[in-house]
Amino acid sequence: MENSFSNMSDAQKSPCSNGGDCSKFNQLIHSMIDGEMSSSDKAFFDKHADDCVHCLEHYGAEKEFVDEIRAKLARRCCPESLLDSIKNKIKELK
Amino acid sequence: MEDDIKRNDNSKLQHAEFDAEFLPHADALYNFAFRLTHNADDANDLVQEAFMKAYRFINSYEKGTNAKAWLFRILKNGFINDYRKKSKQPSKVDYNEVESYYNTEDGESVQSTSDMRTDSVKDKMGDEVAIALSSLEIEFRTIIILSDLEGFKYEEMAKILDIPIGTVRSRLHRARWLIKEKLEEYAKKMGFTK
Repeated sequence: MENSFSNMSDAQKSPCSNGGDCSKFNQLIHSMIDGEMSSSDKAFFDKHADDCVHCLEHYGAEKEFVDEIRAKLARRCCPESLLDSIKNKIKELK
Repeated sequence: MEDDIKRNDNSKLQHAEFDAEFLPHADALYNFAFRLTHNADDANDLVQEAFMKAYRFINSYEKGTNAKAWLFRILKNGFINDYRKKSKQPSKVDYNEVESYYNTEDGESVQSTSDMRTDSVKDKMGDEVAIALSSLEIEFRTIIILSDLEGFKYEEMAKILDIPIGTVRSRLHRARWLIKEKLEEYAKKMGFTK
């Protein structure tokens, strides 16, 4: 894990060779993370990930960051008193 | 007489269905309201109002569709009407200005931001994620909650927020970039990274 993070640092300092494709790949990263990719974009994404190690590593780091955010966000639960009050008000509306 | 009994039965059925289909989303809805308002009383009012509206307009809800998204949309609209239009919580920053400022679709801004590289930083970012989230402008905060906490799809978020899917996509991307910036500022301040 630490190695991939270290590699990421170098990857981000190095300009990618396939300018246009790398830029397009970068725009698609979050759609990929969210599972919201069209099949044609997915085909492009997978191919470019095979061709460009820098972009692949960048994707890995972005995905890891989003996973962390998702894991760390927690809900505040609805107070029981509020839920009871809602149930009572709905009964009154009957 | 028979009509009265039938009406009463329908009402009971509607009531039971409402409880079963809508009330399980109370925690998610309350959390959303609290993160929008940062105030427990205001969150209570918003949630109560959203459930009352949902009950009153239950006929416009198509059974079996996305009850959670419908409730979130009602609550979001209630928040906008009650809080922003009445200027109870005036927005300090023009959202469009913020959005255009960060509107760097080429993604360079994202790549220029270094990633969270070490486990030590990640371990220390528990509460900081919540703090960073609350410091975001409301539109960015909202989209992170809907996507990364509640797991709504882009299409659902577009309906909840009344914005095109393309805007959902770009706003979410920018929101994540902003929260990363906030966390990195924190990490630098605390000496976790250089």
